[in-house]
Amino acid sequence: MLRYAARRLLTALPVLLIVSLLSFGIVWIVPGDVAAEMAGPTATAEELARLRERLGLTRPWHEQLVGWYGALLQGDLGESILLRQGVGSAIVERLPVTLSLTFVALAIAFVAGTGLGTLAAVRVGKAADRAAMGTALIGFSLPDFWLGLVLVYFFAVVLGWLPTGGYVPFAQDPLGWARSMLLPAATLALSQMGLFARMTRAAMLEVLRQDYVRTARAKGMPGWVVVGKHALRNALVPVVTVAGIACGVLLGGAVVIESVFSLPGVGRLIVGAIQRRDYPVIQGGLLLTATIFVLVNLAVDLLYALLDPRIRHGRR
Amino acid sequence: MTLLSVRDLSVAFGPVRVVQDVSFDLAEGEVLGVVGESGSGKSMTALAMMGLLPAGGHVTAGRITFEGRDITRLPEREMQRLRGARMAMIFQEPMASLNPVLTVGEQIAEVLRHHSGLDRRAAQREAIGLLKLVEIASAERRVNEYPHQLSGGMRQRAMIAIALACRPRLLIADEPTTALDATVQAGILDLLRGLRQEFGMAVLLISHDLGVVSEICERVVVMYAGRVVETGTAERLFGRPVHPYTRALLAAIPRLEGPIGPLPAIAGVVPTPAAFPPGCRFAPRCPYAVPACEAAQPPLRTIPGGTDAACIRAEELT
Amino acid sequence: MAGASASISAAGAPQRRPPGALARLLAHPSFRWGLLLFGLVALAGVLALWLAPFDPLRNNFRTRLRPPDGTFWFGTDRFGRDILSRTLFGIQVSLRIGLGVAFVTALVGGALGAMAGFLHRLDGPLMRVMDALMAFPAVLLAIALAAALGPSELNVILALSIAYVPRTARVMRAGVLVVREFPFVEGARAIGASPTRVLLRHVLPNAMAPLVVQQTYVFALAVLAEAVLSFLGVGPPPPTPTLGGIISDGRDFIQEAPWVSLAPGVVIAMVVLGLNLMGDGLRDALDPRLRTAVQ
Repeated sequence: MLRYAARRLLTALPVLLIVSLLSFGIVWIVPGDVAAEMAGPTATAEELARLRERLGLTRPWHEQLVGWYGALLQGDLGESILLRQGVGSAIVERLPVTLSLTFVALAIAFVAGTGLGTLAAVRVGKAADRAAMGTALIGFSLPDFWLGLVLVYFFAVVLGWLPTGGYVPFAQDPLGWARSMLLPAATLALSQMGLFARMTRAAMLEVLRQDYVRTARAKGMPGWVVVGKHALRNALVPVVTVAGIACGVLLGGAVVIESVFSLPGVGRLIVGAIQRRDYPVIQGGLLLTATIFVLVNLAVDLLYALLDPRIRHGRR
Repeated sequence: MTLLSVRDLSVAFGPVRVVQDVSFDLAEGEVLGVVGESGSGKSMTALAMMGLLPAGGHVTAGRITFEGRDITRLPEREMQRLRGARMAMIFQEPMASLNPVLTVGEQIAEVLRHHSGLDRRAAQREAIGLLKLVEIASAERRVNEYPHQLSGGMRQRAMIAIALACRPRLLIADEPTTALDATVQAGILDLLRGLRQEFGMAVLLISHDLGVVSEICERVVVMYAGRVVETGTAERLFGRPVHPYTRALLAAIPRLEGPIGPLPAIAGVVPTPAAFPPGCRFAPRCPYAVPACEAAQPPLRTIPGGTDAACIRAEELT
Repeated sequence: MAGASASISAAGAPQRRPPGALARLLAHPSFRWGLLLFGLVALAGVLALWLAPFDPLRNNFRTRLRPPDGTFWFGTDRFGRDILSRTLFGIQVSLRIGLGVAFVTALVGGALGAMAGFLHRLDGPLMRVMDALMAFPAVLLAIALAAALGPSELNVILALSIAYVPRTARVMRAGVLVVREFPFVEGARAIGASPTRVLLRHVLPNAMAPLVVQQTYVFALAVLAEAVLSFLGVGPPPPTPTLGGIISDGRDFIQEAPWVSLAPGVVIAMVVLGLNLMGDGLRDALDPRLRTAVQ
């Protein structure tokens, strides 16, 4: 198990290296003068020069690259031009919001998706199957930011049951936190719920044909034990592997959902930075989300090994 | 005392009848062999008894009486109470039949918790005891292992432990040794024989291998293309086989002694259920077939001094 | 009981295209519904110039935020512009971008995937770069790229293509890896066909089916992502009417004029649902082996 984890970590390293290189490189695809674009048309020549100095644009590119990695190794993501704050601390401040949103959404998507998929597989070809798969398909076909607005209109504006937006920290008021998370997380979860449902159905149909499911029935286990324990544990193995990918999609989706629901998270920070061309924040935000994605997938692979003992024992 | 009685059983998938008019009895503690090539309907008969026919399959006629109750009309709930407790089944592929993500111990203990109401710890202790019973070495360690960590023979022993957990009155063994090496096969058969004596349970052994059946069965049913073609005591059936199909099967048993020649196999294959011939179903492959064989299905009848056989030429041929 | 229910399956024998693929496609209910949904919206977009009752760009402050009525079927926005007309022209933008992304990723991703699958030495490095690109959430990467490149329709296509190219490359690579193991490919190599010839004549045509299916899904994803970009203001620059842009316009008036955002959202959903349904139909019709794999 340890050797498996170490090997998996080794393959993640080159990916992380390329990720950091790409994050650094985003500034280089800006056509023309980055500093001029950032400073805006009203900037004086003197202001421009100062900005160039701060961004390190006066140095040749290889020195900039060395500087980028040197700072990275010390955990320094640079300085936000607009916030007058370190990029790292700006992100860390907002991370709890984004992580809450992402993980609540992941939980909703996983539970609802695997539930729908299992139902569809058990009732394959029947009305319940078609209804579940129709829901799944609509789930990943709706534009989530638009759905968010529609939900806000109904639940906040018309019915007044939930806040239109904003964030309440969990430590401050757990119920308020749950109320502030419910709509955005449900909105964000919808598309991934559809994918989980489809994958679960496919995996479940495969598993339900296996001999060990017949064995479980031959042991006199009731239907819900056969499906929920013997079949689902096996069907979840491939589904869990896509949970890591879903996590990445959800992180990306959080960017726009945070904007819709006015949640002060990393996504809104990055969108704000993009709209105001605050490149250090963009670079840091990209690098951080991608790193989270790689680490989550690493964790998922290890979880996968826990779910499937054959992998744990290095047999596959 | 009759434990199980199958009467005129027919099983169909839609319009296709894969088992037709099958009847046999099984007494308490008796070992009955059901023999036939693949496609003869023997596994479907067994699955019908367990109420585990694959999707689309139904019992269309006949009765299966187990411990005095017709179980073809039993609601699923009641069947669940019988399965794993009063009647149990083991299968051909022990690897595929064991759940790969659950420990062997859990797969045994689960049955005990469910049927016997044991708590977690007692069930675990009993699981170790069962592993010892089926002669698995270092049971205390094996109980926490997964199926892929066990050898083929050990997996089938674990399957037997699962099946025997609640001391069933009937054990159905569907080709229990087919997927195993010859040496391992013998061990499993010895084990089954011993356990059957210890518990006094009845065993229904399904096999395409008459050699295996002759070793442990008291009575034998030979099936071909969904029907019973011959049945009788092992002694008579092996000593004086009547039906040409039984004789062909006996001739196909490879003998260890003597020079190794070509295996005398039966020419042709079992017809698919959709293409069963109207008369005697073995007629197209039978060297003794006459036109009358293809006219009508021969009934099963008692041959004087022999077995019960479904062959119109039985007397002439013996 | 294989004999009772066995159907003839072509899964074992690789073919250019299974016979009757088109007929099977048109008989597939998912594909039909998808074609209907997508076709309706696409047709409306193509005919926008003739169908639109008003100029989508002209402001009219006397008709600000009108609710839907006989004149303005979908209502008007804060500048008094007709939502229906803007939506119709927005469809054009969405479809142009979606189609553009599907094409660019098919070409670039197809080429990269084929190279990775066929040239063993390129496989590792190429796929690591694809992995790294996939590590960025596609939408976030597209937003950053579109912002850096500057607002224009072409740059949106470019940004989305970079974000979605790894998926296509992966699908193509997987297809090539499967096909190159087929006996007829090994046979062609054994009789001395050049690698290029084997790739172009034998491997690619057989790896096409998964690619076509995948590109239908990429089309759908690109339409969704373009809406996000426009919603966040890094899509095609105003005053170009975009579906995401109209939704964004309506956002500030969600309490008093909820209709502004409604129609474009429904239209996006129709396009994406239609494409996904068509993709499912294509998957079933072109390659039965893909049935269990999701995207």
